[in-house]
Amino acid sequence: METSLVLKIAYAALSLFIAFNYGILLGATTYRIRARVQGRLGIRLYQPYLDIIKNNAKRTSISHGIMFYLGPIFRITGGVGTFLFIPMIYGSVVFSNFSFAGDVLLVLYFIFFGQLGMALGAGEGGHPYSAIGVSRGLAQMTAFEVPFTLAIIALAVQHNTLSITEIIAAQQGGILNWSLFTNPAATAAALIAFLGMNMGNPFSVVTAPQEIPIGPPVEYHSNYLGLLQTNRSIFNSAKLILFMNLFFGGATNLIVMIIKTFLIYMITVIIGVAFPRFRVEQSIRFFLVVPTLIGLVGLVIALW
Amino acid sequence: MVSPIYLIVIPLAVAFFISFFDRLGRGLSLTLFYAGLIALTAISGSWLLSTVTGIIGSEGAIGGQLSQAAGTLVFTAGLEPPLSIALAMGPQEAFFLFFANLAGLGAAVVLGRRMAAESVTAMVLFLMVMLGAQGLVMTLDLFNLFVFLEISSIATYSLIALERSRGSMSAGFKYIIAGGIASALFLIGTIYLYRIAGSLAIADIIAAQPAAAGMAGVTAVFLLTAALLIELKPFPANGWALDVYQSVQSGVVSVIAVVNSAAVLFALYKVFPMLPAPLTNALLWIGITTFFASNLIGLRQSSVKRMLGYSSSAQIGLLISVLALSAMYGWSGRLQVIVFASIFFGHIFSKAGLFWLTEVQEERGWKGWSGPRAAGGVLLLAVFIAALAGLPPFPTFWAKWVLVKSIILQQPLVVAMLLLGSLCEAVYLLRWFGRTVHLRRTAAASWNTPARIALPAAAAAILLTVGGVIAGLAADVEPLMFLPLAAGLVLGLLVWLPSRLQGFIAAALVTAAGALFIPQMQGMASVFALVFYGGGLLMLIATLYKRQDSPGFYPLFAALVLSLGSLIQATGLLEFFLAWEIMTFSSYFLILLGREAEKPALNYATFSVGGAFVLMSGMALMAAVLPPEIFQGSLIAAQVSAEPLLAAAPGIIGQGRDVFAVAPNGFLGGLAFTLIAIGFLTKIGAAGLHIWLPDAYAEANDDVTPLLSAVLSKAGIFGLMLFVLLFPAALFSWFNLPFVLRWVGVLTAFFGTLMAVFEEDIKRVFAYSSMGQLGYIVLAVGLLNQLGWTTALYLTVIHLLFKGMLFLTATAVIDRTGTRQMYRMGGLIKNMPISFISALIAIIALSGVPPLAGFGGKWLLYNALTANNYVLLAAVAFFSSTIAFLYLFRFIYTVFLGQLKIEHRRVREAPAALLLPQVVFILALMAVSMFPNLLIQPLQSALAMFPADAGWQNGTMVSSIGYWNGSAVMWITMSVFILMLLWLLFVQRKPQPVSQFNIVFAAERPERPETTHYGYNFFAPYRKALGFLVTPLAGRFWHRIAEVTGSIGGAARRIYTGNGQTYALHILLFVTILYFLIAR
Amino acid sequence: MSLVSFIGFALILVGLWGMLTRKNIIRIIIGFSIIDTGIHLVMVSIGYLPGRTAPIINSAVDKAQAASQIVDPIPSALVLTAIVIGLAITALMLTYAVRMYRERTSLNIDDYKELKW
Repeated sequence: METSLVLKIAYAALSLFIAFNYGILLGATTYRIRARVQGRLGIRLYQPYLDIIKNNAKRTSISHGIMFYLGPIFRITGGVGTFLFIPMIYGSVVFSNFSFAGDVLLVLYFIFFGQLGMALGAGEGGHPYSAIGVSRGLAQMTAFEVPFTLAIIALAVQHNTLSITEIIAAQQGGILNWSLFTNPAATAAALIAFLGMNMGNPFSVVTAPQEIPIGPPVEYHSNYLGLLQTNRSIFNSAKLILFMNLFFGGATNLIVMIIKTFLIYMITVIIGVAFPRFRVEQSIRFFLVVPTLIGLVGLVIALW
Repeated sequence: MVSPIYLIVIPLAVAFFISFFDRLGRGLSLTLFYAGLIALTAISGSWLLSTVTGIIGSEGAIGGQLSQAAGTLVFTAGLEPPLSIALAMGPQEAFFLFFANLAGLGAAVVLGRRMAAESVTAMVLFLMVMLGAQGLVMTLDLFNLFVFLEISSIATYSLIALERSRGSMSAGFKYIIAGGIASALFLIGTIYLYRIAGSLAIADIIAAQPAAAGMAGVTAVFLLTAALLIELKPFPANGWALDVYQSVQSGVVSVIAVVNSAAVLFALYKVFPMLPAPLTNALLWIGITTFFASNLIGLRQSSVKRMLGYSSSAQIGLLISVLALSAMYGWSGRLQVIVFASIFFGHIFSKAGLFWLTEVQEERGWKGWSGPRAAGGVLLLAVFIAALAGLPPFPTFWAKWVLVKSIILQQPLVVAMLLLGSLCEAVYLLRWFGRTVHLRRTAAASWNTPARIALPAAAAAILLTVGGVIAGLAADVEPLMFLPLAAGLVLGLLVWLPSRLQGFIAAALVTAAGALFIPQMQGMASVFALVFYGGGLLMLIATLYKRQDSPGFYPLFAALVLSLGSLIQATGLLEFFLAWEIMTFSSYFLILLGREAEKPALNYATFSVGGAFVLMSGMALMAAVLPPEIFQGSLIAAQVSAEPLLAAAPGIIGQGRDVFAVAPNGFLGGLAFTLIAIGFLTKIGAAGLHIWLPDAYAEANDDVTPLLSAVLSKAGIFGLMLFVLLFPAALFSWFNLPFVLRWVGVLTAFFGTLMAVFEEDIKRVFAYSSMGQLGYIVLAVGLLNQLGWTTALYLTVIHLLFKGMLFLTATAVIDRTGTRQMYRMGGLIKNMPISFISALIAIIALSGVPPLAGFGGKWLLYNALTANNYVLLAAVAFFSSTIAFLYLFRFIYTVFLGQLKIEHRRVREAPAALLLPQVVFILALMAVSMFPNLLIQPLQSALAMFPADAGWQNGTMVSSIGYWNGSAVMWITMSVFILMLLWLLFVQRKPQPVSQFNIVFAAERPERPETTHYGYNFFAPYRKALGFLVTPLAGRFWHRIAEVTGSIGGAARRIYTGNGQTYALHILLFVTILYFLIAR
Repeated sequence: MSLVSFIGFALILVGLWGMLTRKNIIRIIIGFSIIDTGIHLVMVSIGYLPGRTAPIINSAVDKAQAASQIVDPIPSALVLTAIVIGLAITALMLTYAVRMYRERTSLNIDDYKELKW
């Protein structure tokens, strides 16, 4: 499996390209589904591409300072990095990315890299809405990380490894070997945490449009916004692939990956259109009770 | 050699003739008076010198009762007893007399102005008091004892009668009543002993064994002892003495408390051999109860002198119980010298010194006692209080150590009362001291110390120090262990130099010590040595930013840093404890230098002293349980031992395994380790024991806090790891201590982090953050495997780096903005860019976000936890580490980002002295982030006593369950980051710079930066959701404990009604009950 | 126990009773004197041997057999000393009483309680 560094980088670029496009299309699909639920037609599938191009082509832009300038870069580095540390397709040399650099703990903590950088950049924007959004986002983040961590620890104990590749390997050989079935409680806890992570309803208070228009990125525009949009699609793909790898047996080819991640994503979308929004303290209490208890059950199952 | 008879003759003759000379002129009589006292001191001193040099080396000679090994006997009138009086002068007599006379001389100097102004009677009476003391110590005859007792009593009563203050007459009258009852008992006892033994010579009576001669003999001995005991003010029959202490002038009180008490104590010592066993036992309990109860009541005293009176009573009680213990366990030789002589010596000079210092402003309570104006006066006060409270290097420190070590198995209750009483004493003394320092800084009411007080007090302080060092050397402590104190002393003598220069000298000292000692270290020791010396040096450099002088700062700073080094140098338990105590008190005094630090410093001192006592009892117990040969090898040897110590817990191989394998040693060993662990956890600030921490860190000077948090707090970690290595088997011999340790650690991490989230004060945020971070280290130590301990050491080093940066940044912004409230700051990034970068790197590292080194700590910790199936611990630890994001972001946002306040527009970058250490920390952190193996591999090899459980493959660290390549992560992150940056630079036309204030929200323009900066109560929803978790339960608990203790003390002192008759009744009841107890 | 020592102890108890119950300082001092007297009686009774004479060498005592004819002289000597000391203490107490009366024109011991606790 020794691959030269140049080749590795080329492979990574390829999978990044796929993830980016997949993420954008997935996002557009979501918009369409949500619109249909609300009785509208919705956007065209290529609309997000146009948005990114438009934002990058803006003729004017402002900067509140260096940290403000670097914020989106931190953010997209976080997204791209997270993606690169996750193997996309199990057993594929081409799509294994840079997962040799670290195990699931690295991915877990690298997710924070982008969030922290973004929060800092937004902070220098000086807009109080950014700070309020960050305050809410961080507060909620600490809460949903609890069930998520419990689920991941359960998997690590169950499979006696922290390596994502080995966790996928342990789920091969039939659908019943998936963590979904070997440890349904852990999977359930992680999926609820996933809802929070995606900040859709009922956990959308961070960017609640009615109260604090679009939350932390409020001051970002033009190229910055373009970067943030690009990141959103990559980061979404990364999270979905991570969940697929951990709980749904991974994927041995692109088709399986697309089907699985699409279905996982639909969970968020469906719940998102069906539920109203929690307040911050409500979602914190929720995450620390129901999914946490489920996660503890998952731990018990794993240790059994 | 001058005959000891002159000790009687000189005061008598001088007292007789002084009135005649006084007619010729006051100068002449004063000269005669002081000459007489000097002669007494000189004669007894020469005897001390000759007797001690005569017996040095011959163990046991000092211990023998009434030993004449190197002394002499003289008979009055040239006849043998019973026709004459026999006076003995041996080493003990010489010791007691010399120091009592010296203290008397000092008191006479302090009283100099009064002696010069009043009638000559005062001088005569003073001489008679001294005469009584000489006789009490030297005479070998029981009736003579009575006569000298009465001489000294009558002289004292008369001296009190010369007082002018209001209460002194009634206090003196109460004293006479008590003394009268005591003499009555003494006389009856004496006459019956004469009837039994047919002789009045003490030696004959001892030979006749009166206690064996039936009830009459026991009663007679009892009455005699009771009489002497009452003179020694036992609780609760000591109300009269306290009134005297409070009302009589301090100079005279110092004589009563020191000279009289010492003489009567020696009299008791002489009759000790005739006591029956139950009486000896009773004296032990009376003594220790007096010590405990008096100190407890002392907590509630407002009058300084009455407080000192309680302390005095307590110390005498301690001495009585030590006498009883020596008799019960047949102590002799060095043991007795170190314990009894040290406590006696420490008591005499510290108490005399304190009474002398209170001579000015003696009417005031401690709350208003503003203390001496000169720094030297405060230093004297500090020395006396430290000596009384048993801090090193003063004599009582060694005595308490040896005492506790000797009796902890036989008399655990006595040890408990001793330590609790000592804690109370330390609390009220340090409370007084803290108040004095505070008042001195704030009010102009401090006073000049007149030379007549300053000179004897300084002499007493020097004596205490020298005596303490001698006692320490006698206890086989390496001279090197005194290095921190010596460094503090040298810098203290250089206090007249400019502050910065002192700082440079201190830095040079620390550098020299580090350069000398670090290369000698191996393994774990070298890691901690690097943290202590290196971190200490950098923090020392940072202090150079200060503009105004702060006397005492650098001596304490240097002593603190060097004492941390001494912890590693220690080759025995006592040396370790010595370094620990030096560290404790130097940090206490450092914290006390803070402007508002009076209460926080007291809290710190209370917990530190309490923790140190718990630690001491644990170590003493450990030493008592283990066979002594275990202590032959140095502690260092145990640290670097390549033998896999913890191969298979709980059946671990340790030096103490065989000892702990059998009960009850197993239980005792486990108990000892638990106590030791509690002692260290107090210093670490573990949840429940943490309540001193935020205030102490916050109110210490801004240049002290970085040292406390980044460096000092690691001392507890070092201790914990060291003792685990020393006595691994003890960890499991009672209960599963590592299990508790792990949970304490993780809960500390959780609560520390959570409390940091809700703080507005920047220093309190980082104080709680430190607590949380140390919680992770404790958790890792509790894992007891190589990965866990690698984590612990790794976090220790990394925490030094990032917390050093954070606290130095905090120091810088506080210095520049003049506030500690974060929401009052904001937008400082453009004014202080380097500080911002430092803060940014530090928070990324602390939060554990890759690619910086903080992630290494997280990775190691979760691998170690998950590999051992400690899943709940891992979950709670992870939860805490996400909560850390909240306060970290809040800090950097509210301080550096957001809106710049108008008044901060001209704020400049931090001073270079503060930036320099941060740059060093940044470079170190970046190096470790880039090449984690630079740090982790040496740590792993330092922990070779554990079986290896993680390896390296081409820069990837591989544990049994996970892997991590720090360098690769760094490369990938950097590459992506730079690519994206280049992209943005490429596609974006030059953006127009605008200020933070140039924003619009909800179609409104912001009004002022203050109203636009979202900073106060940043996590309001979080408080709504989880605020109930930070209810200060621990604070309330400890507050309640303090309240209850105070109330008990307050209730106990209600027995002292102030009525002379009630006091007499106390004495009679005391004697009667005691009689029935021992006659039973 | 001889009659004398019994009387002595009785006096001690009487004195103690007086000292503890009387409020007047002068009476307390008198109580003390009574205690002293009682102690002196007890001491004398210890040294007393029936049928012997006082330890004074005069015509009543044969010099050669003095040791067998006189009572033990040491207790008597002690009593003499104790009386002197007792006298001194009583005098001192009375001085105190006078000074206390001058200060507050009261001889009630209950009026001198401002120092306490």
